Amino acid sequence: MARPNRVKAFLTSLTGRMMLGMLAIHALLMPLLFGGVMFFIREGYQTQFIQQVRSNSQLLAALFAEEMTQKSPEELLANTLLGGQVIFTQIVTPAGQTVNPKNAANFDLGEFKEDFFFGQHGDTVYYISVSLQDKEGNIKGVLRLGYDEEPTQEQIQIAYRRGLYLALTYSLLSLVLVTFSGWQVTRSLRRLRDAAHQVVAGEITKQLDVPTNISEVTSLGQDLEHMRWKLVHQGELLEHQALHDSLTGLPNRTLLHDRMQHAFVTAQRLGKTVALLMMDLDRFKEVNDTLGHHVGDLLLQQIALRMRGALRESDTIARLGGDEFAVVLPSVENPEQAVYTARKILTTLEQPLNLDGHSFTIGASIGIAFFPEHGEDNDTLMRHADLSMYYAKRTQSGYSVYNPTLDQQGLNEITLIGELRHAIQHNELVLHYQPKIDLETGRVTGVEALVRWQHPRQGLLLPEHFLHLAERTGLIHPLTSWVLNEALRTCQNWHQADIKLPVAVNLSPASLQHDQLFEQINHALQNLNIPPSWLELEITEAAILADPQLTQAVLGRLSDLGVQISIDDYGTASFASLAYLNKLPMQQIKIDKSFVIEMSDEINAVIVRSAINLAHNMKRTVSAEGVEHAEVLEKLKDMGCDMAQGNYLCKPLAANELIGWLQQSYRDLTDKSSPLAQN
Amino acid sequence: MIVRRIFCTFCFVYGLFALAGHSALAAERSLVLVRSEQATVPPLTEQEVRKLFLGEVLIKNGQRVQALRNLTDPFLYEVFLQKIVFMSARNYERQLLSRVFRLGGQRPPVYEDLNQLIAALKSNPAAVTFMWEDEAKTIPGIKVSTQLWQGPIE
Repeated sequence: MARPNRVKAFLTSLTGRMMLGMLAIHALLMPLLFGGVMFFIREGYQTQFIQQVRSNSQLLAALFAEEMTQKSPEELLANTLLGGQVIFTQIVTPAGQTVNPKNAANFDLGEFKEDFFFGQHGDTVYYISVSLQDKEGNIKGVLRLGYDEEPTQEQIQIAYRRGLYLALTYSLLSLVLVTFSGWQVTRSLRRLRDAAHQVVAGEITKQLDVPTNISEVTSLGQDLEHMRWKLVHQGELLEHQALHDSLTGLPNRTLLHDRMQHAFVTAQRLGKTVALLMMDLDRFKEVNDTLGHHVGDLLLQQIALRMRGALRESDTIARLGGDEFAVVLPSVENPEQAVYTARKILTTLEQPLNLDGHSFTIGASIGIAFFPEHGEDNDTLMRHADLSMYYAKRTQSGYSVYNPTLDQQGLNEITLIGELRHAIQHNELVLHYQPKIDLETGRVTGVEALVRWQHPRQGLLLPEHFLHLAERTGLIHPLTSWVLNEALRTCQNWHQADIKLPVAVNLSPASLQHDQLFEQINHALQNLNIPPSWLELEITEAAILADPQLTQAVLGRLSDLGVQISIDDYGTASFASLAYLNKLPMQQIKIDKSFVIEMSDEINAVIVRSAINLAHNMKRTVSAEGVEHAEVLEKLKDMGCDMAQGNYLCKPLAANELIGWLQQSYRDLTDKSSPLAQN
Repeated sequence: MIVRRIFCTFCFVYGLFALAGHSALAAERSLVLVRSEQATVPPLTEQEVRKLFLGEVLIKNGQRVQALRNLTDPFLYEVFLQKIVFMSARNYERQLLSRVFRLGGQRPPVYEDLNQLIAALKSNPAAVTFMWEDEAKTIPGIKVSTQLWQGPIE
């Protein structure tokens, strides 16, 4: 089986194809060429023979006519045969008698057949007859001559044979030359193939060399070398991209791990300590939300530059994603050195940043962990540095060095995230509702739904215990969805029980930017067959300012649907642009409770009054949150505030408790001592 | 069946060729010199014809005789070359060319079309050419001047 395959492989190779092509061309052309040459050679020989025969015969006839008067015709005929070329002679007298040569064997002639072409009668003798005429022109007879055609035929045969040998030799030489040329060409191609294999095998660091004098192969070799060079370049680029953060150009997590590993090995050998600093920017999310991702990106680039300036060449600074950075100090003498570096970084960041026309400062929290004291592998050390960083953030201490007691806190948080996910999926969350009271009539105009978590071990948890975790982990979307559906379902139940109260639901900035928000709300309303006006969405100023255009578009669609919109926590985000607020499709402004609670402070009272006036001037109603005392309620009434809510009026209640409270509140409207009746 | 039919066809065709070949073997033909009926050129001897067709100037009755070469039949031409000129075709051409180079004048014109040859013959009363006698007798307006050769043709 191997042999036919090798033959087939050879025949399909370039050399094989060239040989086959050469053979095909020669098989076609050689017969034509050989036949043509042989034809002309034969014609030449035959013409020469005929010329000789005809001219000789004429001369002999003339000679005979003259000599016959002196010599006997038999003797003349015998002399003619002596040369060997003429093998037959005969004279036919006018009387018809034949005269043959004297004492000489004539060629055995049957019947005289005169030839006019070479080999005409196939008898190897060319017969010709010539008249014997004397000087007066009298016919004295006919001289018949026979010339031997064999020598000429032999010459032609020899020419044939030699021509054939030459043709075969030529073909053979051509075959050898073609084979050699094929081998020459394929040798260069084989080198090219080897070079290509080298590239395919990934050996691209070595420069390709295809020595050849065939220009096409040289060109291909150059192209291949160019391709290899490109691959090397691309490989370096990809490696850089794979190991570096595209925004800041800093090493990424992968390279950080590698550098850490390298630092650990070196530190172990030299008996030194490696410090890992994990850094997280404070309020970066707010910058991103309020000023946009573009400014956020610029900020990260500036931070990266500043951190580079604060560190040594041997230190590694990496961006792990978002606003999280890590620094590896590969050889520290003592913990104080790492603390010093952390402080240096924080000091560097304290300088105001000027980004896209905005000037501000941003803080950071740094957690520090040491190898091998706090961990002997990457994961452990990073986890411990992370924990200390969270601790620093919580305590707002700027930096914190890991200690084992931090572990428990971190563990608690991770456990809580898992439990929150489970709680959302298994309806462990509950909604409490806080009424909004019309300060003029004392009637309840609506309720605000507030989420609580009925934790199996920790009891009822307020949003501040888990909402930040939900926002950080993306659980805010299913949480918002759950709250929306639950609030609307309760609202539907109340309406069926003839309690006509709209329900307000808070939307986080992340929820507002969720691309399915409108469809989600519309679907929920249609599912429960609830008029959109029964739903009120409360959106914070910060959420609006995170992406004003998107917010305006989303709120516009919701408002067109009939959903009520109110601005929550008004005043906490440096007061949104009045012109912009005026454009928003909202019906109510809710003054943040921080101003309302502290209304004993004159400045806060002025702010609240201004907000009320502003809302009224914009033809919007205004509501105050955080009414905790009667005095505050009185002041709000005096200021002309439309609505209020707070624990003084009614603390948040479960749905069934709220029904009882409502019934009681209507009775109290006639009771002058009740806060609801004091209009 | 088919093989038998092919065999019969082959035998028939072969028979026809054999008959044709036999009749060709038996043909006796005469090579003659011809001129137009209006021509005044007297009969020429073989030597005169040879000289004329080798490019020699031949004046008869005060007229220069014009030789026309008849190449309408290759066999006729070969007989003419062998019997009258005593040369091969190539040598004859070479001889004519050599003579033109040496002495000037023109080679006897060549006609490969019989009609053109007859027209040329009729248009020139001093022109002569050679052809088979039996063929010459069928052509009106020309007449045999001299018999140049007679013999069996195979």
